[in-house]
Amino acid sequence: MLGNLMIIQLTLTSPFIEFWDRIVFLGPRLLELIIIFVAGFLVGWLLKLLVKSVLTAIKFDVLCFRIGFSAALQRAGIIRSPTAIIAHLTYWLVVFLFILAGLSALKVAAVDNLISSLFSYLPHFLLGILVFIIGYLLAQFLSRALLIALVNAEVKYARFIAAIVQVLIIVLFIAMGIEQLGIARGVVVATFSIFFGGVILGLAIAFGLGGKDIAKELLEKRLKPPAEPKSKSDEISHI
Amino acid sequence: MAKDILTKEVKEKIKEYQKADIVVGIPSYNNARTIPHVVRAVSAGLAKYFSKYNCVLINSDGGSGDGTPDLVTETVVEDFDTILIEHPVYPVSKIITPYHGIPGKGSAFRTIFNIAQLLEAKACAVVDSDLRSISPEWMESLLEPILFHGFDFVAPLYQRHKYDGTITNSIVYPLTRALYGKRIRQPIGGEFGFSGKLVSHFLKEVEVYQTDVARYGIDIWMTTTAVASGYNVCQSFLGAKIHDPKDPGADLSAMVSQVVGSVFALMDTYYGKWSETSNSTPVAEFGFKFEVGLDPVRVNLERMVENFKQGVLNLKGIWNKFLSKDNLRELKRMSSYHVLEFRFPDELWVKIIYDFALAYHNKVMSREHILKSLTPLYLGKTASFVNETIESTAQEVEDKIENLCREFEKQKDCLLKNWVQ
Repeated sequence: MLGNLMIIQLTLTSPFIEFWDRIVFLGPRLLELIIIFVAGFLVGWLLKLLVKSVLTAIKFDVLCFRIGFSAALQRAGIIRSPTAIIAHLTYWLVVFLFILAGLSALKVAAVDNLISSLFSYLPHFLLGILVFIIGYLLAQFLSRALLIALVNAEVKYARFIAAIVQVLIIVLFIAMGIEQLGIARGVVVATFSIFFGGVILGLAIAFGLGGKDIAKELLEKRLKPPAEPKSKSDEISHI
Repeated sequence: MAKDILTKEVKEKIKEYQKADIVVGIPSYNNARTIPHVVRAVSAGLAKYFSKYNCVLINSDGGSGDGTPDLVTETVVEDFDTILIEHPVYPVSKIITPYHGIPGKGSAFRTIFNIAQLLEAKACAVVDSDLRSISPEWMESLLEPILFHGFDFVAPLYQRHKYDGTITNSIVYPLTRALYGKRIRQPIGGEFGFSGKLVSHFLKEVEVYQTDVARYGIDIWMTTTAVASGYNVCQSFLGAKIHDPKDPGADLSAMVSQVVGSVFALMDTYYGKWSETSNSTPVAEFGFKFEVGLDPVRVNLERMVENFKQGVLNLKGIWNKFLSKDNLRELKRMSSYHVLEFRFPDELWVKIIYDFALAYHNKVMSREHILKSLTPLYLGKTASFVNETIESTAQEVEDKIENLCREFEKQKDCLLKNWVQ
């Protein structure tokens, strides 16, 4: 009888004991998690202020305006200043890192695995973003330089050629960025090779067929002795 | 530091000559066709007007492949009787040397300045090596104000064809006059006289020889430095300026960008000076002025206007970062003009030049992009100038340039207002 009673008591209390054990196990960790979260928001906020004041001091917005980054943001419908964007990104990156650190405090195997793979992916992600940004800026700068040079050289369709070059550079850097992010590497490389190779081949054929006279003229100019200036040329001495 | 850019042979020559009263520099690069005449004119001028002085002629060459330096060595004045010299004359001492640094006229001048300083020259002159109209009297005109009248800088005054020197007429002369208040008509003429004191000043600023000043920017840099630093400045009439046609392959855009870039860079350097200057005053003039018949100049108006139109069509996305909407709208309207009706109003031109200067100062984008995007507008202004002066006499053309100068002076307050130091 007594034995039965003990079995019933044990059956009834053991889930509570187990529950209590779990609370004892998780409680401090949950507290730790909350403290790390709060610290993350605080550190993020402080870093955001720091980044904002440093970028303001070095006139980062002016720099972005000069290199055309502000215009690109405006075109994309983003009205915040580049300084504000970087400061916000810093804040959320710090908060995100603290959240991950907080979750690892729970000592749950699945969460631990997730966090370790996220941490190992983070450098690739940041590098990928950096590649996108550099690619965009380089494409802007080079296409602008090319556009001005083509206009000054009186080349027709200057804007079209400069736009093609800009797109090609952006595509090249997008492919590099995606490669860095590790998204469907094989597909990206194959697509890019086909696209880029196709465009270059197309341009080469177009130039060969459409510009053979120009090419002939260019080669003649290079190889033949200089002819007398054409009657249409200027004699103005600009200086 | 000064000696570092000179070759061993040059240093030995300097040791040999020890001192010189007068140094005349001729920068060159493939000028075999014209340099013998220039050397003869300089030698005759020095013999005729400065026979009592120690004179050294320096040829600073950029690596000519046509034997230019050899021609300088070989060229002598064979018969002094023809230029009416009766006193005994001696061959002029020569230093012929390649220059080092960025290829360009400015680097060639730097070598000449260094040698002049080491020779402790009292007066110096520089003349271009492509001149066909130089005469011995040019030496007198460039050097006498320095040696006998206490001036430190002599700018040239020429008779030029109305379509000659269009960067000077439409940008450099009016802008430097409005900024620094001195009416120096040919601030980038190419031929200058200057004192030994000013040579030392030119050599103080070592860094500028790494900029566009090492190329086409040297002339405006010398003139502006002399004016803004408070040296005694005058101009001398030299007669006609006729030179070998420039290399047709020479990049106009690079020329415009180097000259205008140097003017804009100097605006940063001498803000304190030009911000305090209002109006302009004439400078002392030497020489007897006379009219000269000049060869007609062929102009391809259609090409210039076409380039302007292409610029407006393609570059408005760049210009809208620093030109006002009204000015852009006006440019767009102008691009519908027929070639012979094409006009570029002075008022709009001045606004645009000042906006470019502000954009350069504020670095709204790559400075090279700002400057190079000016070329189509400059060609538009030149086309308009040709259209407006097609029937004009030399005096009427001068009056037109005078009006443009006044417009630059009138709008200077607006430039100052928008200039943030």
